[in-house]
This record gives sequence, C-alpha cells and structure tokens, in this order.
Amino acid sequence: MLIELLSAMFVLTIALTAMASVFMAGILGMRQSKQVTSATALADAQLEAYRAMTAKDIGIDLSAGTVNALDATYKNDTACANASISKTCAGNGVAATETAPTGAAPDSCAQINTWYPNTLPCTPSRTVTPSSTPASPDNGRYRIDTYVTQLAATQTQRAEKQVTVVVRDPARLSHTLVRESSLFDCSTGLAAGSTDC
Amino acid sequence: MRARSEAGYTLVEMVVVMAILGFIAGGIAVINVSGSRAESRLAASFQGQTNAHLALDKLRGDVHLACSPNAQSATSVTLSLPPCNGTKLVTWCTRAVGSSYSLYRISGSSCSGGFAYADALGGGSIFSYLGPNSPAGSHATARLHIDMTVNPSPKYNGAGYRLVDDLVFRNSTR
Repeated sequence: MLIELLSAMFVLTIALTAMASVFMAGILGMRQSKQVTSATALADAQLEAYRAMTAKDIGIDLSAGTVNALDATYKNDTACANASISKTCAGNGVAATETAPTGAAPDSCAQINTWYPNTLPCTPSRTVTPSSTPASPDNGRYRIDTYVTQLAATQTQRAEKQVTVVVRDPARLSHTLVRESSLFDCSTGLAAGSTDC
Repeated sequence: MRARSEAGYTLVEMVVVMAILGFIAGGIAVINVSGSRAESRLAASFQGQTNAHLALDKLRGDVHLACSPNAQSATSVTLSLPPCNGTKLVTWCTRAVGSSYSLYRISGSSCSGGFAYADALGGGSIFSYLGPNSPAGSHATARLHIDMTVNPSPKYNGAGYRLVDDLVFRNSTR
C-alpha cells in the first residue's frame, strides 16, 4: 500500500515539476523578449539623436578622464574595430579608432550633451536606471555603449562617421541585447561654403 | 472467507488515498490557475509593449519622410509627406477608448477613423514639436518629441512601459 502510494506521488511530482517548468520557461522567455524590446527602444532613440545633429558634432568624448574610465567590455567590443585601417580598440586603445566631434569648430561634448539631454550622444558609455531622466522604458537597468569611428574618404565615397550603439545588460556585460549601426555622411548639416567635407 | 489475493481496499484506505489525491489535485489547480494568470498578464503587457514599439517605428518612418508638420497639438500631429505640397497628409492622433487612449494613423488631416497602432496608452498628450535649431546654436533638424506610456493592466504593471524619443524631420531646415 505504502509503495503504491509513494509511486503514485513520485509520478505526480514529476508531472507537476514538468508543468511548473513549462510555465517558468514561458514567463522567462517573455521577460527576455521584453528586455530586448526595451533595449531596442533605447538604441533607436540613441541613434535618432545623431540624425538630428550636424556631421561635425557627431563624436564621443575622448578626453583622457573619460577614456581611462572605460572598461574592457567597452574597449574589446568589435564595434571599436575599424577593418579599413586594421586597428582594434583592444590593441590600440579607444582613441586610435574612434573620433570626437571633428571639422571646423565642432561644439564641445559638454555643449552637445546639454542640447540632447535625453540621450547624451557624446558620452561613450552610460547606464540607464529607473532613476534616470528619462528612465528606461520598463524601468530596468541597461548600459548603452556608443562607438563613433571615422571612415576615411575613398575614390568613390566621401568621409563618413560610423555610429554603433550597443545595449547591454549591466548584470551580464558579456550579454549584448541589441546592436545597431548607421553611417553619417560628412556633408550632413554643413554650412554653405564649408570645407569640412 | 475471502482469499488473500482477492483482498480489496478498505474504506479507510480509500478515504486516505482520496484525501491525499485531493490535496495534490488542489495544488495542481492552484499552480495552473496562477501560472495561467501570470502568463496572460505578461502576454498582454508584452503585446501592448510590442504594439507601441511598432507604432513608434511606423511614426518614425513617416516623420523621416515628412517635410514638416502641418498642424500639431499635444494629442495630434498632421504630417505633410512628399511631394510636400499638402496633397498627401497623414495624421497621427490619440483618442480616448474607455479609460485609456489609443494611437491612430489616418490618411488626411482629421482625427477620425484610421487604424489603431497602439492601445492602452496612459494619456493622450504624447506629442510636442521642437523646431529647427532647437536649442539655439545646435543647428539640429526639427524634431517631434514623443512621450507615451503603455499600461494594459495598471493593477499589476505599476508604472507601465514608457517610450520617449525625438523623431527627426530629416527634410527640415536647420
């Protein structure tokens, strides 16, 4: 009798555990998707800021203090690499491949960030938290890494700046949630007669 | 006298087994119901979030194409699309649906009919317009500022899902 009962309970426990795992898998999968959707919204908003700017102001803060504070996750990212000049951030440091605002009298990073306070486009790495303004869409924590690399002019195209936005989970920095990239022609927003491009 | 091999269950044994099975079945039912509820709440909130994201992407495409907003208020914006002579107008606006708001896209300049791209918005005032070169000296293009919060089940989702973005009028002056 006891053996029969124990067997029945064992079988039921297995069935219950399976049922609970199915629910948990569904819920965890949906949470993961929600996190990716929020990260995409943040990356979209970040890239949109550069579309409003003039090409000369597109760049990141490369002052020594800011660059020294960047961690290995930022510097080892493939977005830092620039195949056309065979350099990577990991080997050569951020300043080797990335660019600050360039051209005739670009505005300072402090000024640019004041103009676009929601996205701080000149800041290479920042974390959005529930207390940020604006907070992340789902009130979660996200790290937004931005890379701006200068691509030299070739015989067939003008100089461009490549902006890559990578959104990561701060709790698992190796886990990239979203990566978006866009090219900006050096003629964007040029004043008449400018020799920047 | 009954042979040992023919012995059945006594009433007490049956009652004990049924009581135990009742407990287990009750546990299964509780897990099932609470699991289903949690999953459906999460699915509703995810659906609302996805719809809002898709709506923002569609609106972004329209704003990128547009020459300028023809008319703009906190709840509605009418965009003039190419050829930019007022013959092709698209209106995005919010309308109250029960206790929340929906975001509609309509061909033309009035806020009636159209297709609801996002539902369950917490408020209807989601648009504001930033003109060219705003703030002064930035030489930024004109932008449409969006700030909308989606919350299909406020009782469970707290603050909801908030999307903030400055959509760029790529054809505007600076």
